[in-house]
Amino acid sequence: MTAVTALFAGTGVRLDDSYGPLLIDPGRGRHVVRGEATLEARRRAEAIPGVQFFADVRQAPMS
Amino acid sequence: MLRRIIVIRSGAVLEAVRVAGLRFDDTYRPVRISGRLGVPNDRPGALGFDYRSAGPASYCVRGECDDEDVIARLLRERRADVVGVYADPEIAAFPEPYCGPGAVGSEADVADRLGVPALRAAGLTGHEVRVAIVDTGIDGRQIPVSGGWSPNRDYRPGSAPPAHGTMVAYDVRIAAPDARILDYALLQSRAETWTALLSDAIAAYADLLQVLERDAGPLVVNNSWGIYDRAQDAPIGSPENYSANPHHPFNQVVGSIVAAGADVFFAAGNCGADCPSRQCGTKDVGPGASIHGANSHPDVLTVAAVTVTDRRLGYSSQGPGGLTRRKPDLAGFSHFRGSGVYPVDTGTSAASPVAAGAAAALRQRVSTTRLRPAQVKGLLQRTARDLEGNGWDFDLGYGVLDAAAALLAIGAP
Repeated sequence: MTAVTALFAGTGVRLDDSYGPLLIDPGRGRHVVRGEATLEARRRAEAIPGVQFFADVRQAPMS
Repeated sequence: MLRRIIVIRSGAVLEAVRVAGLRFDDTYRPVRISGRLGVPNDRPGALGFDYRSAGPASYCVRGECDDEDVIARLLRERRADVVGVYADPEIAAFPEPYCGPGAVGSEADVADRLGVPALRAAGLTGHEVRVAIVDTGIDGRQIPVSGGWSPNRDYRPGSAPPAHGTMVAYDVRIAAPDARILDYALLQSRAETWTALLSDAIAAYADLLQVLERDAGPLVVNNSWGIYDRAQDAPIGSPENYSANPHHPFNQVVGSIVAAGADVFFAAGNCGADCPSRQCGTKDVGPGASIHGANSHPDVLTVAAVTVTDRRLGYSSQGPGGLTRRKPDLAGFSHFRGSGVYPVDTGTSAASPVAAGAAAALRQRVSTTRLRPAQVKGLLQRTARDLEGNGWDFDLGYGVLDAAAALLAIGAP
């Protein structure tokens, strides 16, 4: 997490320290972290090569 | 008794065509069969009927006999007069989808229709097979659990109140009572409803990847949850989107866990056109609009729902799916009296674990080195009972999961 925190330093992204980084694709070495960002913070973070943002959609039981 | 349609050439005398053991139906008026106009040389081989030999004036009559020998004798001895003999199966209107509130049958009916007696006769109970129930948590007083995970660090696996996750675990055990149940208590209670964020689902799957890394033995993962309303998602086409985006990290990690050897089951959803859940978004009901995200992942088994009387449940979501067009994959039984957690074990939420339990029982016999998850998926699709007689369709996929037929297909250990 220290390396991820350093990666996002200065972007304004607020990382969830209790979450990850989680390995989701061992073959390609992809990791996921969770956080919040203003549009400006996000724009700065997305300028970092390999950083991508995705929706965190709420799920519910199918009954 | 065998009932057959017999096509005879024009000019043949019916009494002369008769052979011993064949009874013509005198109440059936012979029906003239005309040759197809304009395509005299076109023989539709796939259908197996030669319209040219039927000629412009052959006749179709109806008869019955007691065994195939009579038909063979008819074809052999009356070759000059008989064009062909064809099956005359009973046909019926497809039943309307079921939308009633009441249970249809019990878990005993589910076990019987699923093929559990055949599994038991082969000694298959899911012994030593892990089944992860990614859900609301399990009441360990009702269902013994062997570990688990939760985003809530204070949660102890098996300590949940009886609710949705307990129902799901119960339904897995209809076919796999000896499976090792893992309690992945993903969905948390908030304001009288159970929900989870996808980021927590990613964490659950990252943990399951580690479980497989430590022990590569069989692991079945059941997911009876999903999104009802895409208004909560980023728009389709946006790089952030989940519902139709294979690059979303949850869709990626689902692919990773299947590649690592897990058999993953997802409920199709409860937004079928006939009686959708009230939670469904206004644009998220019916064909092509009701199976989203990982629930439509190409590597998972997406499970639609039918009653034990083989009626499609009207709330069962319909393909095409968001990630893969050909969804759902097959159907499982639902809407029955089962766990007692609720009056009815309902939704594709119940259909998915019924199917996952059958897979867990079969996994006791076939390791992931013998059959990869994609092969088990193919096996269950190939041996499913096709209800509507039209092959694969967007309502029920390949048909209703048939554990006895799947067992027969994999053969002896």
